[in-house]
Order: sequence, then C-alpha cells, then structure tokens
Amino acid sequence: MITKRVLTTCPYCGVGCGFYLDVRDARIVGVIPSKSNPVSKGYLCVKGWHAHEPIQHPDRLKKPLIKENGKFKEASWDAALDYVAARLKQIKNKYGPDALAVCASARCTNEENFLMMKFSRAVLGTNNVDHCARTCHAATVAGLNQSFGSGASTNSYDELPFMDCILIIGSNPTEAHPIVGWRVRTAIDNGAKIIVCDPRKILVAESAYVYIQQYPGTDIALLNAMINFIVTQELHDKEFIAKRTEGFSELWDAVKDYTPESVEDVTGVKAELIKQAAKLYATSKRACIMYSLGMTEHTVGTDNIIAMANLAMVCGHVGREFSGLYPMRGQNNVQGACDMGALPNVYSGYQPVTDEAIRKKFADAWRVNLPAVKGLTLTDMIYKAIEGPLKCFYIIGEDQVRTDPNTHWIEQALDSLEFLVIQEIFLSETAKKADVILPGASFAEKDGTFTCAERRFQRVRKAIEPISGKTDGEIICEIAQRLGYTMESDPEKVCDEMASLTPLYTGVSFERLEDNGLQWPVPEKNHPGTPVVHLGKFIRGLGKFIPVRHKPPAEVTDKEYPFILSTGRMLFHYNTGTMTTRVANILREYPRNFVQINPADAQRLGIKKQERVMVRTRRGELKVAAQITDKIKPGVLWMPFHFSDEPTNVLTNNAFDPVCRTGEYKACAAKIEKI
Amino acid sequence: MKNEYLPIKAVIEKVIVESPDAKTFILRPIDKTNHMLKHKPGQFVMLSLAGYGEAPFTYASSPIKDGVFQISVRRVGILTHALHQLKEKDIVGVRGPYGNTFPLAKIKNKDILFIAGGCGMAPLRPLIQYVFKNRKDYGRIEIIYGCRSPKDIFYKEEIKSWANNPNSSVHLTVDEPDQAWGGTCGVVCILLPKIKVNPKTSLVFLCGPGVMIKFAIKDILKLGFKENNIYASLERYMKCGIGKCGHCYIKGKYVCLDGPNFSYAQMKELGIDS
Amino acid sequence: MQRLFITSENLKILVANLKKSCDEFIAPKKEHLDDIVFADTKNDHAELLNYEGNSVISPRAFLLPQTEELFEIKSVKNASFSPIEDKKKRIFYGLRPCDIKALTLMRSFFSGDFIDLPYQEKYERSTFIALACNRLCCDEAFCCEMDAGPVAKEGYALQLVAIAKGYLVDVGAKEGRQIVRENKKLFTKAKAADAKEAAVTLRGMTKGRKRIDYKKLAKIMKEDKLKPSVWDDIGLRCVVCSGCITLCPTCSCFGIADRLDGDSGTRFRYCDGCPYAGFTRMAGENTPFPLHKDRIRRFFEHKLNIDVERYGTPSCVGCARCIQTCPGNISIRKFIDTV
Repeated sequence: MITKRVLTTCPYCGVGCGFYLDVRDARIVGVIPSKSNPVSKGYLCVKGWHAHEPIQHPDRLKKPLIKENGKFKEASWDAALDYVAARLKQIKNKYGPDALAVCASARCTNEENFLMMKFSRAVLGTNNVDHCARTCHAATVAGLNQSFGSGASTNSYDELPFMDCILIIGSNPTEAHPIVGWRVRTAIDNGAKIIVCDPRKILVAESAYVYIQQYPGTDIALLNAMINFIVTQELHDKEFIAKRTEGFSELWDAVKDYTPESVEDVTGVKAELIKQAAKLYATSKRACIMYSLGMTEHTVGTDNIIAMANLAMVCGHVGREFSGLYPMRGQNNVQGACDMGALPNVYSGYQPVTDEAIRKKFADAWRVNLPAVKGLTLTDMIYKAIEGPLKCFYIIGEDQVRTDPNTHWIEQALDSLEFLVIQEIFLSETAKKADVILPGASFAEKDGTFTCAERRFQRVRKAIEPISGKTDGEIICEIAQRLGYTMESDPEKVCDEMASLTPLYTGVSFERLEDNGLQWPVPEKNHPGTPVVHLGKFIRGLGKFIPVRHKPPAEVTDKEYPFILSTGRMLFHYNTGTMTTRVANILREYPRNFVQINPADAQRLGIKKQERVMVRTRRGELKVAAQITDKIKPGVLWMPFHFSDEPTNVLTNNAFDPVCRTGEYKACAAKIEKI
Repeated sequence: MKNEYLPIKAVIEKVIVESPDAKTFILRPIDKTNHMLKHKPGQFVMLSLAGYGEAPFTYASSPIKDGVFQISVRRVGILTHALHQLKEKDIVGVRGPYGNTFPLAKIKNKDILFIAGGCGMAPLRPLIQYVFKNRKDYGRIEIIYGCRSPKDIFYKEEIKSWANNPNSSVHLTVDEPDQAWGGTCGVVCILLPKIKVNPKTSLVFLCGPGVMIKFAIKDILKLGFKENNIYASLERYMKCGIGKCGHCYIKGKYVCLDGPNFSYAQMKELGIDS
Repeated sequence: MQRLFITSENLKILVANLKKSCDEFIAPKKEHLDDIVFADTKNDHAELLNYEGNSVISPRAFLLPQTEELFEIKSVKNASFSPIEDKKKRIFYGLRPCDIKALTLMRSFFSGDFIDLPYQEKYERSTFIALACNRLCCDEAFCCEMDAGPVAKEGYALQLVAIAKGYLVDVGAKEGRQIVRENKKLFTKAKAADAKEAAVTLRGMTKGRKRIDYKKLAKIMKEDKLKPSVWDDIGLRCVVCSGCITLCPTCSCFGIADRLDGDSGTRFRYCDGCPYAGFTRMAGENTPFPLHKDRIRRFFEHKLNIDVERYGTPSCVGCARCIQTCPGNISIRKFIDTV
C-alpha cells in the first residue's frame, strides 16, 4: 500500500484552510489539518473535515455525455471535444463571437480561470466571460474600488483576535466562515466587544456586546444613522478625514437627516441601540467591519458596501493595521476568479479591457487580436439568452439553475440557447439541460492555486489522478487546440504567464507559494506580499466618501405577501449541496430544506413545529418544514439554499443591483401558508 | 475471528400485510446452521438492504423449529419503504440475534400484564407466544392492545386465539373506530381498570409509542405495580447492534447490548423518565 | 522487566531490520513546515524521534481510519457480501505514551462479547514501540495529570527513553522480547547511571504536575454538581466541526453507510460521534441530546466519568489535540480545572 499525505487547500468557503488529504493507495480516506498553515493553523470546520468524502463518490461524472434526442449518451473524449469545438466554431461563424459566453468557475484554480478567460478572449474572441462572483461579491469589487481603489479585503485574518471591536453585519462567521469564526471567538475571549447586526440572532450575537436586529434591506439607513450619531457626537477622526479622504461634506449632506430616531421605523431598531453601537465602534482603538452576502445580495448591494466604507473612514478605522473591512468571500476561489480576470470588463489583476495599452500587452503576448468592448455580465447573459442574441453558453463548475435567483427565469434562458456545454463533476440541475457534459476534476485531482478572502494565493496539490482522465484546464486547452489555438496547460507555466502579464501579482510563482502562500499585491519578483493594504495611502490616493441613501428592496411587503424572505448559508452545507449532500453525516444532520419563522408569527398562523408549510412568492412556491425559532425577527422568514430537491431559489427575486448586477437574494416579499 | 458486521443472506419466504402501513416478513436464513434462529424473546436482528443500509428489527416470532423467523415492519423511513417493495423470494441480509432478552426466569409462576400500542405488539409477540406455549408455568395473563383504528391491529387471528387460553384475557381498544367496531374506544390506559392481576407481584411488559409508554407507566405505578417489575423496550438510533458504534449509548449503557429491554427502575437510572 | 540500552547508531540498524519484517512502518514524520503526522516511512526513511509538539493526528488513524470499508457489496439484488481482509503487519514506532494508552483502551473496547474485527485484526498484527516523553510536547498537554505520561505502563513491545548517549529500552510484551532476541548484538545492559539519568529527566517533566484525582472528578460529574453556566458557555462555543472526535485517540464511535455504483459497492464506516445532533436523532425528529451543550456533556462524561467506572481510568489521555483544533476554544483541560 502506498500511503501519502497531500497538502492542499480546502475547496469550500473563501477562508482558505489548509489540510492534508490522507491517501492510501488510490483512495482518499481522510483529512488531516495542517497546523503550520497560516490561515487555519490546525483548525477546520465540519465541511473541511469531510472534504474527502465527495471526491470519489460513485455519482461522479466519469465520461463525457452527449445529448441525443433528449437523452445523454456516453462518448469518448475525442468525440465529445471534436463535437464541442465544431459547434462552437459553427455558432461563432454564423452569429459572431459575442453570441458565445463563458461562465468560469470560482471552484476551479486560478490557473484554470486564467485559461478560461484567455480561452474566451483569445480563442472565442469575446469578453463575455464572467463567473458566480456576480451573485455574491461583485458589489464588493464595485463598491470598495470606488471608495478605496481596490475591491478586496483590506486587512488580514490574523489581526482579528487582537481587535477591540468587531462590527459584524450581514455575515454569520460561525456558520459560513467557521475558521474566521474561530478568530472572532478568540477575539471575544481576549475581551473584544462585538456588534452584530443581523435579522437573525446568529450564534455570535449570543456573545455580542450590542445586538441589532434590523429588517433585511435596511442596512444603509442603519449605517448612515451610525455615521450621523458619530459626527454629531464629535466622535469622528477629523485628522484622518482631513489627511486621507475627500468628499466628507457631500457625505454629511447625505447623512445629516439620518438621525438614529428617524430610522427606528424603517429598520425596526431602537435608536438607543444604534447609538450604543456607533459609540462603541467609533471609540474603540482597534475596530473593523466584517460583512458578507447579507450586504451584497441586494439591489442596493454596491451602496451598502460604500456605506460601510464611509463609516470606516469617518472613524479612521481603515488604512492601518488592526482595522479595515473584511468582505468574507463565499467560495474557495471567488477572490481568485475575480483576480484572474474571469470578469467581462477586466483582464487578470483588474486591468481594464477597454485600456488600449493593456489590451495590446495581452494581444502581443497571446499573438491574437482581442475584443475591445466590455462583455456581458452573468445577469445580462441570462437576459440576452432569452432575448435571442446569446446563442451558446459554456459553463464550468456552476449550477445556475439552483444558484441564481428566480429559477424559472434561468431555466427559460438555458432552454433558449442553441448550444449549452457544461463542465461539471456531478450531474447538477444545470448539467441536465446541457447538450454536452464534460466531466471535470475536483480540487484533489489537480495542481494549481486558490486565492482566499485575505488575498492569499495558496497551493492546491494533486492527490489522485483525474477521475475523468482530464483536469478542467486540460479540457479547455484541448478545445482551444481543436479551434486552432495552442494554450499551455501546465499549471505552473500558466501561473508564470499570468504573473508576467499582471503587475499586481508579478512576484507570484509556485516556488514562492510553497511555504505559506503570498498575499497580493505582490508587485515585484521578491516582494514579500501585502498583509494590510492602503497603509499610509489608499490605492486610489485619497479615500472617497460617496453619499448613499436608503432605498427599499425591489419588492416590499404588502397585504398579500406580508413577510420578508431572506436566504443564506448554514454550517453543514455548501451552496447547492452537490458535495455536502454526498457526505454521510453532514446529510444526516440536515437532510432537507426548512423555513425559519418567529414563534409569534407561527402561533398567529397556527403553524406547529416541523409542520410542512407552503412558502409563496410572486415567482414560485415551495413546500418545506417550519422551524420555529425566536432567533428570527417577527415578520421575517429565512431559508437556506442548499437543497437541490427543494430549491429555495424558485422563490427569490432576480431584481438586481444596477452597478454590479447582483441579484436580491436577501429580501423579497413572501407569504407562508398551512397546507 | 468472525466479522460481526458481515450479514448473511435470508430469503423472504412470505409477506403478510398486517395493516395499511405494516407488513410481516417471514425470513429463512440460507445458512441453516446460523445462530440467527437461536434467538430469545426480546432480542433483535439487524436487517440489511444494500444501498439503504441497516436497521434493527425485533424478532416478531418466538423461536420456531422450521428454520424461519419473522419481523414486522411499519413503513416509516427510506429503508422500510424499500423493504415494503420486496416480494417473496427476494433476498436480504441479516445478522444477529442481538440485545438482551426479557427476564424469563423472573416471570415464572407470576401474573403477567402486556401492554402494546400499534406496531409495539411485534416485540411482545415472541414473549406472549413463549408464555402460552408453557402456559402452566405462569399465573394469570392479561393483554391490552391499543391501535389507531381496527385496520391497524396486527396478528388479528392469532390475537383472537390467545383469549382462548385458560386464565387469560385480551382487551382491545382503538382511537378511531369504524362501523363494524363494537369494542372499546380510547387510549390503552382506559382498559387498566379491567385487569385482574395482583399489582404487587405481577410483571408488566410494555411496547409502543413513547407517549403511550409514558402515560401507561404513570397509570400502572398508581395501581401499585413495582418499578422493577415494569419492563419496556427502548427505541434508540443504532447502527452496529453490537455496542461499538456509540449511537445508542446512554450513561454507560448501550441500548443494543444492555437493552433494548429495561425495567422502569433501570430507565430512571439512565435519566430516561420515559 | 528487562532494561537495556541501545546507541543511536544501533537504533538506526534496528529500525532498518524492523522495516524488513513489516509491511508498514508507521512513525512520526515531518510534512510541510512543522507539521508532524504519523505516516508509513518504510520506504522514505523520514521517521523522526526528536520533534516539537504532538503529531496532528493520533496513530489511531491507521487502525480506525476516518473512513474505512467494512466489506464489499458484490450484488445488491442477491444480498451478496464479501469480506475485506487486512492481513498487513504493521510496526508503530515512536508512539507517545498517551497514544499507547489510548490504543490499549480502544483495544479493550473493541473486544468483549462481540469483537470488532476490522480494528482487532489490525491491532493484533501490530507491534508498538513507544518513546517516553522527556519534555511536555505542548503547553496545552496534560498527560501527566491524566495518568498517561511521561512513560507508558503497558501496551508496548519496546519503550525507548532518551538519554544523552542513546536510549534506554524497556522490554514489554512478548513481541518485544522477540525483537531483542533477534537483534541481540544491538543492545547492551543498561547501567545504573543511565537509569538514574533517565529518572532525573522524567522527574523534570512531571515536576509540578500532579495526577488529578479522577475518581473524585468522576463523582462530581456523576452527581451533576456543576454550575449550569459551565455547560451554557460550552454550548455557545461548539460549532460542530467534529475535530475533537476525529483527532481524539480514544474516540471510537462511527456511522455506517453504503456506497453503491450500480449493483455493487461497499459498506463503509466513518468517524461519527457526540457533537452531531443527528448522531442520536430518531425518527420523528426526536433528539435525546437536542442542544450543543448536551452533546459535549455526553462527550466529556463518557471520557471522564463513565470510563473511570468501566475501566478504572479516564479515557481522556491529556494529549490536547481536541483543544488545539477547537474553533470554539473549548478546552477539556480548563473544564477539568473548573470542576
């Protein structure tokens, strides 16, 4: 028997924990945490501890499948790749390159994402490339870029245990990012005071100094009121505002009417609590803000982020150590997929496609002409598919049908396409709609890098050979080859190519990542990486105050739909559950979907514990069990989105943020009925 | 050494529909020398349906000679649902017998009261059969059986025959009577005034839904029955059946090894007030 | 007990000889940076005796892996099953006394009226070579307090005690005597001065560390004399990561599931235990241990109370692995101190 331990990075959330896969012969039998990993230090959550189980699950797709007369038939790799290449070529010739679109994957490695965006731009000739950051942290990229000049976490995880105050808003670190949750726990044990703002009384709220239970979709009102109180009480950092920022008077114009008293009704929060929180945050020496999709997945997502940036700058809690904003990224490599330019408007390192000099640099390196106009976002791709101009979609490792809001709308879009290629590891709902399914490889079957939420590049290492025979990178390169363009598929060389074309990551190489990874920016070959950004000076120069005002969600409650429905992630499952429902004890822990409802609401409607109820919105309906809990605010319902058989997203709203195009998962009007 | 986890094959010899949601399976282990058949009243068997896993079922028949045993299964979960789809001649995996047995020595020459609810009749049936087979060794025997409706009564013909034994009686009750039902209606406890056994010395065996057991024990204690003479079968989630997997562990006891049959006195020690 | 001496050079020869006699030579090995894990070093010769800290996982992972196949399902339709046998001879080398005690406890648990063949089969074919601790492996460890260190009392073939010029060797079980017999030339008799040196080192480690009165601890837990706030605090900390039960060298609970590919597949067991609500949940959502605090209590009570009654010793060996991996900063040591 050959036993080996392969050090790699966790494939679930964006925290980026490190562990070894325990391999005996060709079987992966367990997970061993790595104590010397700078992110996880020997800690893991329940998903990480079981990350080995789905890898060799018998349900894995092993052979390419081509749909004939509505039924999938196994095909050889050559047959499938020839067919895909031929169809892509045909559609491109008939309708032009912009009739095609690529959906890259935040689950794949940086190198593969770089290849996907290169494939899209250099081979297909379109900037129509995007990925699921659109449905999570696109608002962060858009918002923080405007305020600070860089759309990522400003500080590092290891500062968290030493904070005096952590403001957690729209984020549930214990469940969604447990190893960051561990640092929050340690901060509490070290005496930090925590402020939690969440419509649900999440676990950290039990240990919080101030707990604010606002209505979903009222965060700007809440944050502006905090700024209002801080400035009226003269608690703001005048020196910081004067030296490092611009636009304060415009901000004050916008927030001066947001007194804590004036927002009581709209937020459902007592003014006194808002004042307490504001005072605590402003007067703490080391204070930071941690947020997640509770802030971004709104029609005002970008504004939400700007409001937080404003609050941080008003108090001078950014641009130095032990401060800043921590956007908790949802997926293992959603940071990396953005960084690698799997976005319609930028190449790797956020270099705009519209900048001629940059475009020329890439065009010269790749020896092709590159399209000059921005491509479509994922949200717009769906619209264009239904409208007609988009004919073909190449989706890698994403289950749009289950993850995007308003399922019926997505299904309509996918059905409108002429050709749909899916690269997947399990037969997802989206894959069932494909014309061709190409079996991809899981994280354990490839080499490469992931970038976690603290901007740290970390290595992913191959533990077993690809079950389907090919990694995702190899598949793309083979299709490119068939379309007459040769791409290097070796991950280490791809990484070098990426570094050579991207000033932000110049110093990144497999060799340098070997020990502890590197936190970008890494602008030079021997640069040590950057744990804290904006030190001394914001990347954009001066930090910019941008006035934002409260706008209600796209859909508000009314007589017919009196509840606000919010959705989210729970500890045991991950996204559409394709992996976690294939782990025996995780599935046993939560096998089915449910809806959380306050006891007062439940009693009024006569709903009993665990009773099956019907949840309805204007877009769909779903039967689920009722979980009655006082952790949720009256008038609010909450559902997880992990269960493919009882999909919550048939209910959610596909109204989106006008800037970053992220859907409003976190607030829509709903009703709940006894069956 | 024997791999205790490895099931042996058993053929489904007959399927009997007991109620709208329950069936009795008569199983014949293929290996006749197997100790599967040497079970005692109160013990259980682990039944495997590959792909669905394993679940414990109490033997529903007393050890009989002709190489078969019975289990009665109500359709509640995924495994039992799949089991209900099976037909005669289909093959399942079985291993056992596991668990403790009812205190057979202790009941000799005593009056016995059986209280069963719904499918809880299945685990008591082997003991009842055993007692009637050796009728002269026991005192008065009273059987109380409550079901949701007349359709849900298990072993209808056999139960009728039990009442023909000397110095024995059977009392039935249902929650939802149909038109043909001429008997008692209501929970099992309302039959307690009818029993004619001496509370001080009699033994009581209960099996049924948790709520029923809880209330029944309360009432029989009031009648003066002794805590260590009252026995009930405990239901716990279990996987291995041999005291290793830890699921059924409570305060140092493994329900699959030390149970599933406990006296009320023991249950109180385990912190389970039913 | 026989006490011998071996030089470091001769120990290398002994290791080389032992490797020839086994299929797997399981020893502490340095992986990435400072991570120490037990691994098969038969071929890469990376075994280490002198390292900082404790190994991340306990050697239990080789006898009771996180996931393990129990048998093959040849055909679902015919209910045909076939055993998977593991006849490998393993030598465990450089085991800490805490892990030796844990493996011995687990062996008693997995025998009894019913034998857990997959564990027992591997255990009985294994040889254990212990290494006494001459310093505490980490700040959190409390093996001396739990009667599990710094030397192993039983359950080993050989136990090495490091001294300046080599190792003292305690010969334990009969496999130990056999190893000595087969490698006679490598050992000499231990000198009194060497024994004294070892005793001084060991005393240095145990200094200021008193064995706790675990009988008293068990009694307090049994009588439920703890303040409810102790459990409430633990309840707010547990995030059900399952790290404690996966790393604990004495945790043995498991779940069983089938994994099929068409008509065939395997039945496997996987690490399972107290922290999960689903571990004890029955049909109809009836959960005997509904809250986090109830489940951690079940975990602590089993180790510190029930097993003291059952085996006369707690089944927590003070290795501190659970403390070092708990994202809620729950510490069984702090808990014991509080009690």
